[in-house]
Amino acid sequence: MKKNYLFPHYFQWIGWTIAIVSFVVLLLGVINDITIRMPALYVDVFFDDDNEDGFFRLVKTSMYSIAMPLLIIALIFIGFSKERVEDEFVQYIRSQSLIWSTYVSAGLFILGTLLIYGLTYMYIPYLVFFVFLLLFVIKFKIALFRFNKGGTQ
Amino acid sequence: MKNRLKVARAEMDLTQEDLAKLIGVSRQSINAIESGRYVPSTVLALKMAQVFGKPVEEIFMLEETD
Repeated sequence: MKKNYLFPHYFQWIGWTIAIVSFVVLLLGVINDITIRMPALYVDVFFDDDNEDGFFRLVKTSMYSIAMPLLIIALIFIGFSKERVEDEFVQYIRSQSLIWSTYVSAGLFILGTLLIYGLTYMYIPYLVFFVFLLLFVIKFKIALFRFNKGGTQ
Repeated sequence: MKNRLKVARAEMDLTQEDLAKLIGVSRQSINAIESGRYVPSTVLALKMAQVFGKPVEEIFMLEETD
């Protein structure tokens, strides 16, 4: 009954640190057009003409390949670590924010599928998952902030 | 669900913060419960009843719409 999949409270600060670092990395990578080498499980040259086709390759890629996974980990840590006082009301707000974010992201996914075609559509699933996490964190933190501010004795 | 939390608190001269600390929740949760925005779990309701030394029914009561 008391099973809880949340991270300890201090993970929130780890999350914020990773978020800031990966955002700067992403920004610097985009501005300076940095290319890095990463090991890959599979490369499909149809979408990627910088590299060789096949399994287990070393590929040339952008900073995005490092920054995006880091950003997702950061958002998970921020949204899914315990609050300072983690009680059932906080968990209720968290679950409500998750439900809300699921609806909005599903809507975006549906709209993207209906309205966007071609290569650009390949970005939609990745983007929707990122937006899902981001909206959840924003909604959850705003709701918490409101409850922390509001309410008199 | 209605509640008499505020009255019970006043009778014992407890602030929301005091009550929150006694049962291990945040002050905001007490506030949300008092204002009827949040219905606490049975465990939390029993803890509050224990603090006030009253049966749960004297603090929380059903409404006709429940």
